[in-house]
Amino acid sequence: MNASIIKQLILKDWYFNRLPLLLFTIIAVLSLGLFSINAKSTFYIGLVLIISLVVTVGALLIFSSVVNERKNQTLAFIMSLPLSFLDYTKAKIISNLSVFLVFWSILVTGILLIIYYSSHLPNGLIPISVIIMGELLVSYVLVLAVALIKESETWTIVVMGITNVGISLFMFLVAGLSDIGPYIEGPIALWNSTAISIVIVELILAISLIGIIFYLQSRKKDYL
Amino acid sequence: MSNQTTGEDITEPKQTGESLDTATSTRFHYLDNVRALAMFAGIVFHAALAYSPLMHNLWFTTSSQTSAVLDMFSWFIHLFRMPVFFLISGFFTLMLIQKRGISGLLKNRALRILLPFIVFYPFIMWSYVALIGWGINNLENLSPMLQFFKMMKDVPDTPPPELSTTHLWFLFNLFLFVLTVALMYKLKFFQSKFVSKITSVKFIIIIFPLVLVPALVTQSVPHPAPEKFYPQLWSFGFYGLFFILGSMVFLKQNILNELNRYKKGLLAASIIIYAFFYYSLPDTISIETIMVMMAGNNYNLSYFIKQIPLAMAEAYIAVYMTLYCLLIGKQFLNKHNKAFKLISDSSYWVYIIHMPVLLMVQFLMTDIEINIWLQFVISISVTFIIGMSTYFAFIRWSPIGWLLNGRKKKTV
Amino acid sequence: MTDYAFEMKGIAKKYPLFQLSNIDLKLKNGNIMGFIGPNGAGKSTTIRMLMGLIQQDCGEINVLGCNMPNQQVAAKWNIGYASEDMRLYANQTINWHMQFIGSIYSNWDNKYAKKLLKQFDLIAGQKIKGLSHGQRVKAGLLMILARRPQLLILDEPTTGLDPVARHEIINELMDVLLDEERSILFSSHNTQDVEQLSDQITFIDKGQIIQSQDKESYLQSWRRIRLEISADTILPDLKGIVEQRKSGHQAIITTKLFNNELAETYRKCGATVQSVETMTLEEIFVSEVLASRKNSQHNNGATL
Repeated sequence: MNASIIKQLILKDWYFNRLPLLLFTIIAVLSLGLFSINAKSTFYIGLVLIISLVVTVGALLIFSSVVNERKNQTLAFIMSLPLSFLDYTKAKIISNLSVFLVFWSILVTGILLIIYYSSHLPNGLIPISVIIMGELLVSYVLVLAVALIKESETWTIVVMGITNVGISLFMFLVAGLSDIGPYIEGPIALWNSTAISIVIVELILAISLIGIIFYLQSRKKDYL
Repeated sequence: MSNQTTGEDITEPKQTGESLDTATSTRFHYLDNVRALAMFAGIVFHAALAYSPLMHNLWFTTSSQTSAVLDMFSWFIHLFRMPVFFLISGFFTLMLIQKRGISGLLKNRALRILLPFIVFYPFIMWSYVALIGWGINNLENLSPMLQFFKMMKDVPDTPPPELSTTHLWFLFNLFLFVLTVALMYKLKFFQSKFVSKITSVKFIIIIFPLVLVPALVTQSVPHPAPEKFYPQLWSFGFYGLFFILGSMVFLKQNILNELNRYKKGLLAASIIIYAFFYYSLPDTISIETIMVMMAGNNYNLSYFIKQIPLAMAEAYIAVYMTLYCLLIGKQFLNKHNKAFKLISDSSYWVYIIHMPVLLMVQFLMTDIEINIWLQFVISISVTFIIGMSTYFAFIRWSPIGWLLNGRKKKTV
Repeated sequence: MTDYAFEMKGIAKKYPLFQLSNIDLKLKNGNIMGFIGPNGAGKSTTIRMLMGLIQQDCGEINVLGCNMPNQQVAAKWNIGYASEDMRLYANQTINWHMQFIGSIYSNWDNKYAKKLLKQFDLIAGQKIKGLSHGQRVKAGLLMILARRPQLLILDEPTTGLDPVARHEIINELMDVLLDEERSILFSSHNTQDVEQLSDQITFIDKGQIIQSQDKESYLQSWRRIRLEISADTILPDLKGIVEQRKSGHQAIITTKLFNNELAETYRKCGATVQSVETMTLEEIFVSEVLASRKNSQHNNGATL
């Protein structure tokens, strides 16, 4: 383990993304504001903005810190430093996930608090919100995995397109589940076995994807 | 002498060949052709509405027979035919600004878009009123919409219906977008680093569709036409953004080459997501549903959870299919010959008058038993034939033709 | 510690359309090796294997006493690596890069870095994207020189530079390296750059090392001999002759094993020696590559 260099690489990625992240955090807080207003259009727009922001921040992170590193040939510079390719992978995963998770957690917490405390939004919305936000997390990890493993901009764009389209398909499917859809308007957050299973599957998927990244990266012989 | 054989630099715009968006240079023939196809697709779409189970309660000429296949096909077209039109218009708008400056643009657009709108709107509006009035009084099998109109007519003190720009909404909106882009150009928006940075494959494929969702999510599904007589915010947030994207693409034309490798994927993704989209649409929409939706803040949560993915689906299909149409057009339709020229010149006129003609044809068939597909084919062909023959008879070499397509020298 | 900065033994690496084979290469501590080959000869692949960035199919690589690629982390602490396709972060300043490298390497010498900055005529606050190609190369060199690595690996650092910038960089490298005890591997397809800097020369072509030798003795052993001959003169087939060209009464002999008796041998055969010319590295390089290609064609032909 090469902790000090990994730390420096993570700090570098954070530093490079600091301004857009600040901007997106501000927009995120505004979107949560819209979401909390008791009006149909602001509710929709707030929610759409939140989903779009999660996707946009994910894309920004993956492109600026993974895809562009190779495309702009700064990867050779980084790999000339005393670190192994697995150290590099670790740094990329930690820097990406940490930023994404912070941003994602702010939004998840915001949404849950607003639903919980507002009188016009029933608590029945809580499970489906968690499930949808969980899907966004899994999609992000999947795109990160493809970007790191395939090392190709085209592949990353294609998979990102698929996962984005997948968000809407996923929402169709989940809302259509008889164990989820009908309880949205209920006064309590109903965590039945279907809802819990979906969240658990999402967690398992996210974690196993990270495992797959390490496994496939460790089998690579050529890094440049 | 034909203007094709003058031997002048063919990359220069020809004064004579100006169509809806004027100053087409040889290199962009496919854009002219694709736009003409998008206009004709409008006729197909409007003709199919009569047989749409979804619109059964909401359209003037709905037949008692409906076809799910036709419905599926026509709503797919609906999602991208106007985005294609506006993207191409935005492209040519920026080209015109660069060639003639902002005042040149405004003068030209006022003549080609605003004036035709002012001139034709009264006739079109009158023909709608006359046709619907005729239909209510003379047809036996009234569509639910006409029955509703008939009922309202008999109720005293009914407020007159809100004034609509009818299917000429596209001209009204187009002119507003031209003004917007002219202003943005003046403010140096298009010259900014930000614009050149976001005109990238990753932005267009990944982020741009999401930018359209807020506008679509506020509308019913499938989204209606922005046909109010005042600027509608959602139209700017959807069609307007396609128009601006077109302007951005003009400034970075290589982007189309970069997008080319994703062509098949764009089509595949659109079809897959459309399957879900169509599956999730209700079987039919009632007038009451529309009224409840229009009423405002009364939102229904079980509806919300579908509204967002449906709006996202509309946005993805609109963007991906628009790009696909451009790319496939570039591959196969980048041609310039008399036939293509005629199609693209006539499309403007045919589109302007197609609705009254189509309504008339479909009204006339309402009380006759004809196979639904035959009805559909007849309504499209008759509309097209009437459109083309009036174009040749009254438009092509007349001042109206000059108004719509620019002054044309007679070919030898 | 071994006497060699690096050693490669029996290295091979196969790609679908290209392969490196029988790479045996070593560099003595403190020596400078010029690594010359045409484009696509395998220079960068060889160098990346030295850096542990590409794993060899077989053979052993030892760099600064570390086994590659397994011990690349330990080795890279003491290697300064710059390559033609390596870029610094365009949106960051030179100063940011200096701090970044400084935060990683404890042996980063900030004073020396500032001295180099001046010497290279660079401005610390300037962003990389605002620099010319030559300035970028210099900035890249600064990042590695200022931590005084034991081994410098420079992969085509002068490629793409205009002649003036190339000259400047070579001169500055020479200045900087004059008072240092440091091993250097320097690759180029330009023999002039290498000729000035190196004391050991290695030629590579089509994935094979065709020569690796001390520069001075190498240059000494190559000569071009011009002879005047009569129609019936038969020139002997001597060892070391790389090329023999006749036209009319003229013959030009290129040899890689020159010694003073050679002229005498030709005189005895009835030829008049007009001149014995030394050759530039470039001329030698071209002769070596052509001879090696001819040889391999010949061998291939024989096995068919």
